[in-house]
Amino acid sequence: MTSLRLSPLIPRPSSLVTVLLSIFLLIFVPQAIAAGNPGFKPALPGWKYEFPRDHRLHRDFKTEWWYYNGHLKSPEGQSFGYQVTFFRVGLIPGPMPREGSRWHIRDVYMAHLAVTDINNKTFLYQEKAGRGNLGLAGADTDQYRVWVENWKVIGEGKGHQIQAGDADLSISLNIIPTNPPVIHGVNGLSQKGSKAGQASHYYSQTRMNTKGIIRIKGKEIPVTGISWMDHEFGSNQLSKTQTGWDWFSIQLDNGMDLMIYQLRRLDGRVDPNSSGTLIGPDSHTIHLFLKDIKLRVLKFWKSSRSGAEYPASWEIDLPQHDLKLELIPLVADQELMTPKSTGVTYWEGAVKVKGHYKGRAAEGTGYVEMTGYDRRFQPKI
Amino acid sequence: MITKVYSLFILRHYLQSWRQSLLTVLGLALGISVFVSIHLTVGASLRSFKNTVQAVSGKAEWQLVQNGREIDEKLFPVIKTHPVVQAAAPVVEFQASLYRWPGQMIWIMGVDFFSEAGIRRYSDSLSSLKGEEFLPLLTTPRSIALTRIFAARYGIKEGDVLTILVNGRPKKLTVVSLMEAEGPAQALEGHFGLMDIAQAQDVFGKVGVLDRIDLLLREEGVEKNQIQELKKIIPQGVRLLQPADREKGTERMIRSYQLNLTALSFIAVLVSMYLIYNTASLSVVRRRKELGILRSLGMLPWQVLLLVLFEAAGYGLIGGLIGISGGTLLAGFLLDTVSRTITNLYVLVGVRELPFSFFEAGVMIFLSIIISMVSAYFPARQAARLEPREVIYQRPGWIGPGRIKNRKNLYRGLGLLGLAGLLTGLPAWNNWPVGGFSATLALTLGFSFLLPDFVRGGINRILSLGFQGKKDLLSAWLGVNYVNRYLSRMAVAMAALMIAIAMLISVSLMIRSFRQAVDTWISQSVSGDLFVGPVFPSNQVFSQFLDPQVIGEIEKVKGISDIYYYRGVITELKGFPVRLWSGDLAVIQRHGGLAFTRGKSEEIFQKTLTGEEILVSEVLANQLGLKPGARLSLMTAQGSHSFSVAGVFYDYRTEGGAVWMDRHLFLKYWKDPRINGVRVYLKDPARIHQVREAIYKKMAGRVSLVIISNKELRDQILNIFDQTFQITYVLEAIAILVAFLGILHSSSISVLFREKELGILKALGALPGQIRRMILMETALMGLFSFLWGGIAGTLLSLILIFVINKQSFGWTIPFHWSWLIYLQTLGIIVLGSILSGWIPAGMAVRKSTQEMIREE
Repeated sequence: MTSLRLSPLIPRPSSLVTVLLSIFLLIFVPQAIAAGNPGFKPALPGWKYEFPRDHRLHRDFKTEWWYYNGHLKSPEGQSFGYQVTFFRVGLIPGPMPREGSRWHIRDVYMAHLAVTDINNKTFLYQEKAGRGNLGLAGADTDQYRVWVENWKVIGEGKGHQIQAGDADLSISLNIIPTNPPVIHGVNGLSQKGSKAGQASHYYSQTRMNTKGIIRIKGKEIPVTGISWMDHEFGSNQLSKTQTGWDWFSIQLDNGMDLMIYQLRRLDGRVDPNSSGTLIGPDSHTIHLFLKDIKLRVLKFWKSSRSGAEYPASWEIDLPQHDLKLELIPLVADQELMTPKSTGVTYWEGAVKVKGHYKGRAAEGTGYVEMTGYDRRFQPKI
Repeated sequence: MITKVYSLFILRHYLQSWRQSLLTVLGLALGISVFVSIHLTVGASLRSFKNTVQAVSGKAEWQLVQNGREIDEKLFPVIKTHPVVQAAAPVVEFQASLYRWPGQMIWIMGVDFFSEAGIRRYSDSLSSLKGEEFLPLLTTPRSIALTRIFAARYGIKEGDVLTILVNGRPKKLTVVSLMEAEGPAQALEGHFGLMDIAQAQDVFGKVGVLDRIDLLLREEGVEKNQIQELKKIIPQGVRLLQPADREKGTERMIRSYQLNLTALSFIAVLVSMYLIYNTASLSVVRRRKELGILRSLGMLPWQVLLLVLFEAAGYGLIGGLIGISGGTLLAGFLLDTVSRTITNLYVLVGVRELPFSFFEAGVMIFLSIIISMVSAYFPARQAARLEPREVIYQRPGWIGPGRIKNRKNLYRGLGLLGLAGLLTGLPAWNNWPVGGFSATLALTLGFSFLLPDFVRGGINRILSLGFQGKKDLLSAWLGVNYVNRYLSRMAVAMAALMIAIAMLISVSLMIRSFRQAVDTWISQSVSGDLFVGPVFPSNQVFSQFLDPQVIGEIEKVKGISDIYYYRGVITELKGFPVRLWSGDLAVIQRHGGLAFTRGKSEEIFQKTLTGEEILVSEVLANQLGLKPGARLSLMTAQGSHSFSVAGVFYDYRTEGGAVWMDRHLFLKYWKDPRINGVRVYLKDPARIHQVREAIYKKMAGRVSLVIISNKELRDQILNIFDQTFQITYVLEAIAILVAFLGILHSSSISVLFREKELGILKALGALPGQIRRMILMETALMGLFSFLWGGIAGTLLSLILIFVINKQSFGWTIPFHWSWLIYLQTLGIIVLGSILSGWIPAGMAVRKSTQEMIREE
């Protein structure tokens, strides 16, 4: 998946399956960067968040994405996990030329949809990509609206409307946040590498009531549940020493939420810039440094299709906060293979969460994204 | 046992008469090679055309196009997001000239790489472009990807600048990547470039428009009602087509060209069939005794039949093998001519390689064997009918047409001629002049049967001139007499030569008449002193435009009295591509008008200038059976519209027919004011040079224009014309060559057969020179009579070619144009050729010692 290579900025690469190989090449091919990167703004400390402005497009930054996941249930008791991402890569900074073709490229937009049918143990996904020309894809600065063709997210009042997918698989969801946005990192900055600017602006809406419809092969299923939203923007690239990452979003029944990302390095160690955020029921946030987080893989699962071996269960231990959780995939195979586009293979899926918080049982749901397991990540140049 | 007899008998014959065998094989090989070369070269062009279509349309099952103009790009988002559409890719394309290599073209396609998935993108990216190479096309201004083949051909490297001519203006493009020959890069044998759609629109002046949209529909969307859904949102004039439909018309035209060349190339095969017939007859006659013995030993008639047929099959096998190699070699020489002709006439094809398949080679060898066996059938049947007794005791004779009663031959010949006459009346079948071709065959066969009578009559006339007693002419007299006596031995070879001559004369007459018609047409109907445009006025003209600024500047040049602005588009008529020309017809009318098949020129022009009436070319009128006053439904940019035919005009410009309309109608139905070029009329035609210089001077350094005079245009058109028919002369030449091999063959046999006779002549004091003269006289006579008879046959054939075959397959009216020169030239070739082919047998006769020749066994 492309975004994975796109930037550490996006530690969880939202699964942009079909997306074009060249997009990440853009990031890694020096001449391409020379053509595209100058003129984009680096993510630096001191960003003042303002909503709903920051839900919208940040064209000054090179990469930006909007991500949603959630756990939904139908009245008949069917359970689903879903994940939708809209992704933008700026190729050339500045506005469109005033004259001439309306096809001059500025940004590339990509979108991805994955749905896990937990009862039937099936996993479906779709993707879309396009240049932001002729209104076929884009994002606005005067309102929250991002779209790739007829896939779109629109902010309406307090809520977000999501529409994605085609005839075989689609979702229409209405999502309303129940807590304020959570800003990750320190001083408005989520650091991803050791250098200045190797970072992103990153916030989440960790709890959002969700209602809508999932359509699978023509069958409409009304669903309700809870969603998580991420929005991240910056202008940096993945460092050459990083091989992949593991990302977790967890919503506990006791009202607590947790986000953790761990960047894995080529030498097998975890990058010191890995971090997380613990959010209390009162929306109070605590930044977690790598030293605060203990991650342990309990089990592995090997994909018969790709041959990649992924962690299949995790133990997350935050000893300082007396929080210990076990994450178990709701469907073993939530692997995405993209032989038609980038050839990148990764796992992103719904998990159930069980454990203890301050001596009491804690339960919940979550999403896990794991990249770079099928082969060692190697930048082209 | 029987196989052993067969192989012994056949091999021994090959070895014993190796000279004749060699000639036979060589003749057949030549015939086959011509056939093979045509098959290969036209096949290669056809394949190039199909590959190009396939390569550039990728997996698209449908295309949206607007006839004769581009589509508004605003349609694209609507199509792209339509629920029936699975994938939609916008395409902007352009045929650009290479600035540094005049006359060379490159076909450039501008695409949106993000829409290519499923259509031309199969794996990582565009299949011919690796991922790393596709991005610079987006981020480098004015950049292009070229194929490796193209780059190597012109010595271009990554990072170099390629200058192309767009509407006469040089445009510099940076070469940012090189493509492998995969996917669309297979088009036009590498003369293909790929650009980002935005840059292509800017560079080609196509901002806001698309040439087409390639589509993949959802599987469930292919059901009819869903296609109807899609059609509902398509604006008027835009059409939803399948790529195959778009190209069918062009393919059909190339196939028809192929058919005509194949028919021509068959002549050489036909001539070589006579040669095999001759050889088989010889083999039977020479071994009558042997055959008789075999028969009396118990060999059955059908076994004798097979024996002779197998012997011929051997020639077929070897001839076929050599023919395929020779044909491949010949195809290499013809390839360029053929592909250039197809480009001139129909569609841009680039051919560099010949398609060679072992399967086809096998088929050709099989055909060659069958042809040989068919040719040997009659001698074989006669051999099978021989009674053992009759054979052993009878004097050796000759098996051939001579043995058939003359009357019978005469009736057969006349019958065939009558049949030919009837066949010419048959209508075309699917535009294929089946009747015409059959008539040609019947006529040639008829003339072959009548040949012996004709020759006999001719010789009697010569003999009555009175050679006798004149010492100097003794050897000539002997020669004439010999031909007369042994006519049956010579008849087949003469018939073969006669056919080759008839074909040469008929095709030459047809070409000459055609050329004359074209020439007359240019001087009558193509007015204008100077032709100005971004490219040479040809089929390529359609995609290139003169910009209004340039036109404005041309208008201001001094010495111009009138300007005709023209615009051509390719549109569609009943599924056929048809060229539509529009312009201010009043200007044409003022300057000589057009040659109409009927009706008053003034009235016809008047109708086109004011009403919804158009002009159609004669070719089109013939194809569709249109007459003035008929209505014609033409696909316009606004959809199909019915026009009335004001007049039918003679037009020899292009294949497929043309429609002309006044500019007011074009503007109404295409709403596109662009101009491809202008014809300039001068106040003083003598000042052509000055006016041309004045225009060049104004444009210097900014716009590269092609400005040609009427005379240059005429020369160019005739040049293309000559180029088109060059290949037919090659085919003819080979047929003639095969025929001479036949003469050489017959003549050397006749020398062998009368060794004793010649020996006695020598013993009686005939000098070597006299013997030589006698034999040369024989071959010259054979040539002469073949020529005379072939000349008559050829003249008749040319009428069939011009008035039946041409009319049915192309639709042109060609006035018959007689030319003595053609006969004279042919005669020259024939006399020279016959003497040359008599030289070797004459030498044989002279060299052998007299004793050896007259010694009794």
